[in-house]
Amino acid sequence: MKVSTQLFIGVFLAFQLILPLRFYVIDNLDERFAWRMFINPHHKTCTPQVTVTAHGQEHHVDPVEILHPAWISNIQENRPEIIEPYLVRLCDEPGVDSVVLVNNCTPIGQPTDTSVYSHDCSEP
Amino acid sequence: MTKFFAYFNAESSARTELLVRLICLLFAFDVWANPLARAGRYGHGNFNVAHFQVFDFLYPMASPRIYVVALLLASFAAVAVAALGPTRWNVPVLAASWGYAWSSAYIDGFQHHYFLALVFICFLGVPRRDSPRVAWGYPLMCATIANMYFWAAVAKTDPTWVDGSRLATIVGKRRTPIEEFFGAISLSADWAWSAISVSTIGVELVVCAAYLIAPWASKRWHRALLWVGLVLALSLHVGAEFIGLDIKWFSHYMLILAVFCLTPGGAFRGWFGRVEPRIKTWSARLAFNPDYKPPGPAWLWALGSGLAVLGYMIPADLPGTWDVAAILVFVLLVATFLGFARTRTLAAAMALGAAAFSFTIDVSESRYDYWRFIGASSSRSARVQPDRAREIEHLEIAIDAYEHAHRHTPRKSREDTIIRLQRRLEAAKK
Repeated sequence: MKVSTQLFIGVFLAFQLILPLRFYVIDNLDERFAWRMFINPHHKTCTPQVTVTAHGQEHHVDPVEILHPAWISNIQENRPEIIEPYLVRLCDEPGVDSVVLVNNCTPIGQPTDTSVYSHDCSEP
Repeated sequence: MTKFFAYFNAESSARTELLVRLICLLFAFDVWANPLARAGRYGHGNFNVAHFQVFDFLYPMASPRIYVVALLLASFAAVAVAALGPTRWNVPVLAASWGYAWSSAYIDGFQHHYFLALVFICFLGVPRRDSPRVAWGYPLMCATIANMYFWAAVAKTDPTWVDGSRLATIVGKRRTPIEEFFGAISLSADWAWSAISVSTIGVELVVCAAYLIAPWASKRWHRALLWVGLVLALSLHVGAEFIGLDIKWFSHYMLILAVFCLTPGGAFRGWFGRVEPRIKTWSARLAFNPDYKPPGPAWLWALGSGLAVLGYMIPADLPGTWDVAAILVFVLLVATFLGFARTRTLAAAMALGAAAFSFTIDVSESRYDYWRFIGASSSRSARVQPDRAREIEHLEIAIDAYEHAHRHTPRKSREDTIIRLQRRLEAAKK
């Protein structure tokens, strides 16, 4: 077997082994690669409130204005990898200076906590 | 280390090719019946996040058209694999286009889509007629499947699974008759749900071990393990279908994989030996005998197939079907021009694939769902738009989508919805 094939097999298997491990060790919200079919997720249930400052004035935004409903559940699970690009996307709207998303989350069996995400649209 | 990699040098048999062909055939129909319906959500609001951050920089902004093109390229590459067997071009096209389709958006959370992306990468290493010594794909696929069962078993050590409450919840409507059955055989429902849940962990670990041993099963205990693994895998996935879990076609794939990978070699050869002599039809010779050349010049086959592809795909009323029809016709022309030895088989496969695609999007209602889903999400978006121009834009998209859906409606008319949206549009324009 060629060395390149061995290398490919090694990387391919390591990738498959490490991704589920990541769920148990680092991020127990990201179940995409953990083969947790039918297991009760430890998801939080969050209520997002989005505030946009445009031309110096603040107003609230419903995420459905831009996002397809399929993305909303990821925001309700407080997934930063979706929330941060969403804030960047809001900056594309005309006149938007900054965006803040406040997520009030209730983890199962725990008191509510609040996560705040903000993005200054003048930043790249 | 050498011993480790020796595992991936197993001798492959005819069953690998059959397995690959069958999985690809199922996949083509799966694509047309299921993921296609959800293409409208891709790129909605000019927003997308890929499964891996690096792909956000590499990929173009997702759109329904790009997603449909990727899906259809994957499905027609799969049809080509099913008809011709794995070749140096059809498997890479399948792996790349499905890999892109799955990884292009985080919202594709179906675990079996990820699983298929891994399996198609393994197919790159199955023996081909032009390269029969490449054999790492089958053992790598078995290791991939074993890995999935292992982690699925680990996940089921979750307390909500072990105590049976999760399983009792996911069976839904069937919970009552099942619990009545438990009562009839004097079992407490809580105990029975927990016992079934815990036993699933054991079942998955045994199936994991069986898949690991599958490429190298030679000893008597290996064969015993394979038989046990086969029975358990079949019972697990037939059981999942029986209780009506919403996992789309995942069980179908796993049942085919179990039969082909876990049936011990001797039994498989015996079964196949009885079936093979009966497969002497014209279509089987076309697919399985590379030396068989049906009558007529290759260009005539390609021409006929090209016309069939255009005839079935252009009226499909989905974005991207024109693009894929053009690509398929171009491929047929190139195959004819370059004198590809199996142009006739490829031509027949593409024509039949296009006909099957047209039939499936109709029967499965995936095309209807595609337009209906766009109509529903655009109508919802319109409601929350603070800007009048945007509200009008979303309402127009919703009306257009429902008009398309209405053309393909299987039963319920969409006229009422269209009239309601038109009223909203008129009000918004005032």
